[in-house]
Amino acid sequence: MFLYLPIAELSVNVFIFLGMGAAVGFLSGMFGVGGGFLMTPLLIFSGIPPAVAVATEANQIVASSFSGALVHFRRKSIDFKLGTLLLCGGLVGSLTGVLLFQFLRKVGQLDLIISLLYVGFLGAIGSLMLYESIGFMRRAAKAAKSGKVVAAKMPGQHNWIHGLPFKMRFKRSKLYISAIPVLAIGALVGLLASIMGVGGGFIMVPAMIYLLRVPTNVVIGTSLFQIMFVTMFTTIAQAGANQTVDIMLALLLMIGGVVGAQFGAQVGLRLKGEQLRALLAIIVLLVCFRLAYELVITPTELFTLGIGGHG
Amino acid sequence: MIRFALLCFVFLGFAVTPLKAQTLVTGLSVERVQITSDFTGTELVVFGTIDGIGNDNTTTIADYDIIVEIEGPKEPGVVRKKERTLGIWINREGHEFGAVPGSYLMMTTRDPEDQEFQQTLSAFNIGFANLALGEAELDETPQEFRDAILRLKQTQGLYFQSNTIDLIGNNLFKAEFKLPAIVPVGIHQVRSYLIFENQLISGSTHAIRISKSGFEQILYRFTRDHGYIYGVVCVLMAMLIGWLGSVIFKRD
Repeated sequence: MFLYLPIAELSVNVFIFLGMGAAVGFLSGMFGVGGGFLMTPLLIFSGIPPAVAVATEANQIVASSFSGALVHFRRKSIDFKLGTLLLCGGLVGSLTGVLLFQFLRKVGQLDLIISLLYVGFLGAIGSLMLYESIGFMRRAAKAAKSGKVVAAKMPGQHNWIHGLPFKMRFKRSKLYISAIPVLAIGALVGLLASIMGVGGGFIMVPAMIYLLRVPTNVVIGTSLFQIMFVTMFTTIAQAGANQTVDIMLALLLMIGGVVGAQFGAQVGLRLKGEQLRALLAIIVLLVCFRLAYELVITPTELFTLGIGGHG
Repeated sequence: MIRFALLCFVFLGFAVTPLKAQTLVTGLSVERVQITSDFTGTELVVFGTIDGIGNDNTTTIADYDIIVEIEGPKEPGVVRKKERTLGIWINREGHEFGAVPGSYLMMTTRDPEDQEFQQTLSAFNIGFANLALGEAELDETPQEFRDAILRLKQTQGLYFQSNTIDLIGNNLFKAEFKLPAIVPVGIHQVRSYLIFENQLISGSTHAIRISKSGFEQILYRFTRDHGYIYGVVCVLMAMLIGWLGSVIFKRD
């Protein structure tokens, strides 16, 4: 069954995109990640113009993060004060990103920058995760032999972050830290959201745990809270400034994603945390290599035609 | 415009000195194309006959050359060329084109590669080799950039030329065009030419409107005219689906 996408101006097979939504939804349910960093490259590989892929994916993340945030809201595992501060940074970052996006599109370097950012971030995060989970599995195996219990490596109590001024108290997280790194992390994530079409959880969650020392029970809820509002803002800004949000494509991805996430979550419960992380790391690295390969091999077509009318 | 003027000139020429009394009469299988949500491209048939032959049995339609071209709306474009820089392929040189036809489909009775015929095509600015693309710096735009547009558009099915006009009987021709799913919306000009011994002796024009229909059209206009409101609608839809997902599947 074919459907004509009104903004991408393409006719696509409905089942392929429902399936893609379901597959990425499955992985995101399984690993507890947003999946934007997998979906956007997939959309680009399948012929959706990168500009449309990025903006439409932001719209899909609104659905998944809203769904997730509702759960955390009921469990009261959101630090609203911290989330709001992250959001303030996020909105500034997102707005900057939308403008930068417009500029890069005009000078014809948008696709390159999107690919480079993906290769850089996916490569770094993937290798770190793989390194850490393999290390953990090794220690666990050693400990099993000697009969000792391994404690997860606890991050130290203080770092340079705690020396910064403008300190604020965050009751829910039991933290007393400077507002500067919170705003900076929020802004970076907002910038990535609008340029890369990701929620940014894969950057924000580690940053909150390792840099800000936010307790793990509020990390996910709080980051979902921020992602939800930032992607809402990004969707509206992209729709208004660049006209690149395709509502039909977003709808297909959301339906596939919501269903896929349910099955993924059930499978995820049966796997061990460290195995899950190693598996996710491998997937992340595969996407990274695929994108890097495209940048390096001699393309079959050296020329591209951009339409001057919209950038 | 030049071609239109030429055609007018030809018609006026007839009125003054009717040397050859042959007139090209053409029709289209459809007058307008609606792009609906299940649109996967469509067929457009241009058919016609030559008025004024057949009475004397000296000539048949096969003695003439017929050309039919369908040109889509023009828009500015920029062609960029990738070059390897620090190991990766980056867009470097770029050239602007002021008026690239969104689509260009042409059919002839004679091989467009034929040397003699090419001169005729060139005289009337017909075919890939003579297509006006609105080069900003006409003399400085390298040929490879122009060729790139023709090649890219051909792989998308938007540009096409061949000698596949069918002749039926003594005095009927039929050109079957395939409009791809990504055919640009707007007014497309259908121009037919009747050539005899390398001279244009008659021509006809039609306009065909290709537009998005109903819901697609409303949505498209809405995204252009009220982008921010459209964005809010997208967000509300996402929230509704996210909420439905959490209710149906009880993610607790």
